[in-house]
Amino acid sequence: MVVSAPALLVALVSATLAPWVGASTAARDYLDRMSHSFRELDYRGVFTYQYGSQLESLRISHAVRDGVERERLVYLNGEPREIIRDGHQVSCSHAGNDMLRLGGQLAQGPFARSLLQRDDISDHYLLALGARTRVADRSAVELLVRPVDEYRYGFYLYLDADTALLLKSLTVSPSGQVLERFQFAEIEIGANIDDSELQSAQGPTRHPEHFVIEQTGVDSGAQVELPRPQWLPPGFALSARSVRQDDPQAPRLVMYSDGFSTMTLVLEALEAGIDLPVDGKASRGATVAYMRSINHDDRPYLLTVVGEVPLETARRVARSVMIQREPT
Amino acid sequence: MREKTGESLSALLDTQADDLDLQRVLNALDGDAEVSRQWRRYNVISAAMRNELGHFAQVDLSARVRESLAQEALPLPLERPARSRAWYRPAASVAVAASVTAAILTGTQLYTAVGGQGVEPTAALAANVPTGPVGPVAAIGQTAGFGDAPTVVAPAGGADMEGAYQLADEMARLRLEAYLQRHIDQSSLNTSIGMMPFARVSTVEAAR
Repeated sequence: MVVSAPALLVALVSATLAPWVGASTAARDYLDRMSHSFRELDYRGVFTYQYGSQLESLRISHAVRDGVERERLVYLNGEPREIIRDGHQVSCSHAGNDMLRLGGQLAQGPFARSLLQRDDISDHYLLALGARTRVADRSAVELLVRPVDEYRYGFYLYLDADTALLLKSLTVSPSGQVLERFQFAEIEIGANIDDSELQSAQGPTRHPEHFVIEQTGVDSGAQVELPRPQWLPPGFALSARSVRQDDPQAPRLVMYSDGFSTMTLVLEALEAGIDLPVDGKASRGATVAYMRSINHDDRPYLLTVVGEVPLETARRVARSVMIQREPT
Repeated sequence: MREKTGESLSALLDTQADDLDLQRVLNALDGDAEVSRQWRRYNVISAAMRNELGHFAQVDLSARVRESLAQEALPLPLERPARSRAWYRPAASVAVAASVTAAILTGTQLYTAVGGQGVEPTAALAANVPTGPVGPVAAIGQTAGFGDAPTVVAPAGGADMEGAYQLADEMARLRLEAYLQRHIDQSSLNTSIGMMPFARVSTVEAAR
């Protein structure tokens, strides 16, 4: 049995009335399951990342021990290097991921509540189930995620039919170009993963910082300059931010997500006295960056929007940003 | 049939192939081990002729060619392999103020990524840092500090200007990589594709 009974029932009942709605409901259920499976299952596998003519291969091991995620990512080509994430609570909530969940909880805290307006993902994407196919030697379900506007990319997701784990993902531009592709070549779901497999073995290892909306380690009552966009595509909500107390000059980061796509706004103070226009852009695969200078209170700042969104979206967001002093 | 495939194969390697040739070869590669071996052999020869042996000899290009051709059941045109694109490309309005941009981009402390792994200028970059005579740009008073690295002053014009542009681009690229790393750290938690986004960072480094 691949589709859960309630989902199937809903799909069947709806199908007689409105086929699209029925498919969408089943698709929505898959998304919900996907948002859990990648964090809650044990698996190991090798996947590739491709954009243009570039190809990268990585090995991933993921395990949950006593409600805590442990994962290790090893780059298989070039200089040995790894990424280790250890100690991340499965129950830890992230707004972007939560958006794909049905009945998920909202992030806590006054700052979050004031900014986080939660739309359902289906307000901004049309969801539809496609053909049954095979990826990494597993039966997979194709899930089409088409944006309702031109501010974000579309996706073709291929989920494991049994577990809803993502096996393959294509990111597609509004004009229909495939910008990047993640794809498992092989994967073992429910694998028995030994501790040694989750430890760094070679080369430089990065332990990604984990920050959420309510930043800790900052004096309460303190105010900091933060980038506040006056325009965002509908559905993008604040999902993370970082202000480093130990280094006031360190860039401030604010991330927005609509559940599929993310944008990080980076605000960096420049040396006083610079009053010159900077306006630059960058792109690779699905990732774009738009950089501009902003003057605020006679101080120059460099603002950069980095994300997997169309360049025009990044540009428009960057142009709309005002700097505001806000309580942390 | 095989003769036709052989012709198509040659055409492909001489970059004279049309779509029909490509399809013919890819179809043959599926079921014909001899064609597959021939394809690799030709590739090695072809690579050697282009003096690329060692870089490409081990690569089976057909998988990627096939992938970019694959229909994927998509009602969408697929991407053509992109030319290698510069990560950072200043917008037109920047060109005018490029020297000034250089001052800005080198005149501030580079962002240090969490975990103590700062972004350091590469050795090649350090060797190319233009120093010495000052011009209008330096008059702005911007100098850079990378710990013990030499003071960076963007010179005013002439051949040195080119160096300043390159430096500015390199500094912008390093800065963007640091940003991207932090972006990916979070987006891996805020999208539902787990650690897959980290693959994007790797290609940033590889693009050097």
